[in-house]
Amino acid sequence: MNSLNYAIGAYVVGLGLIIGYAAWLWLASIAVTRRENRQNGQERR
Amino acid sequence: MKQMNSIFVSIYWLATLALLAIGVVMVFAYTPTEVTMGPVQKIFYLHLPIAICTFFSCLTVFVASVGYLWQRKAMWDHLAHAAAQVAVIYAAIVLLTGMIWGRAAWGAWWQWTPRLTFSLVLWLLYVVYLVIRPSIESSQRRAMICAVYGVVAFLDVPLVYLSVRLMPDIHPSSIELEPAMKSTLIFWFIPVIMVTVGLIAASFKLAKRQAACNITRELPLPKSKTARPLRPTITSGNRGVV
Repeated sequence: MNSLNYAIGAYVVGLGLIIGYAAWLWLASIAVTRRENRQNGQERR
Repeated sequence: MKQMNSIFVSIYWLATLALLAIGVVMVFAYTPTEVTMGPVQKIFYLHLPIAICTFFSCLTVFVASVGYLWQRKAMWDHLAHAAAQVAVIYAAIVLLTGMIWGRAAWGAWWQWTPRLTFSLVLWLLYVVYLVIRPSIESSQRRAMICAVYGVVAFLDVPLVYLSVRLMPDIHPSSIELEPAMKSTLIFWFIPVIMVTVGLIAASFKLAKRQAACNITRELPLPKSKTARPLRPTITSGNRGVV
């Protein structure tokens, strides 16, 4: 395997993990927002 | 106020993404190729800043753990949890990029040298920190146990840092860099630090909101005085009467 391909692969892995974790945080935040809206809806009733 | 906050967060992340993109372009288009190691040396510009920020995340876990043991406030536990998640991700990136570099430079994915072994132990320590959290039901007990663990786990960080200086190791302890390489390396610290702070802040905010939701769910809902039961209750006096 070409030495440059190793370098590109490392950046793909490294930045991919960071972007993946950020995406997971964002999705979890959406889920919490929905839970908060459900709970606010129950209290208003 | 909330709108201003979300605008600031959006601008922050857009700026971070832009700096990361510029950094990648600098690595592959601007920085010269190192003579001895070849193009694989370019992993260094990601590997080193991430490694330093891993230590920073572990330090944040340590400080937050001490903060919880001192003040017993939940926010310290949330901060420690957030920083531990980032530490695990970053330590994984350091190990994986190091393995890829090692495969190209040494011909082997892994060697049981002091630096690499202590780095693996560091990653495992913080993985265990995240794994034990859901198994403890009481939030106060969980925070206490994790705070003690967070203080102890930090002891591996100086071992990782000093191992390559104190013990014989295949991992390089210092590298000679040309001016263009130095400027690229210094530049990469900016977006990586921004990503670290942003991820810890986002994870901390999420942990606080999740904890608030759980507390709200435990509280009994107030009963309305005008609410009537859907069906009349049957007592011994009116049995059979609708």
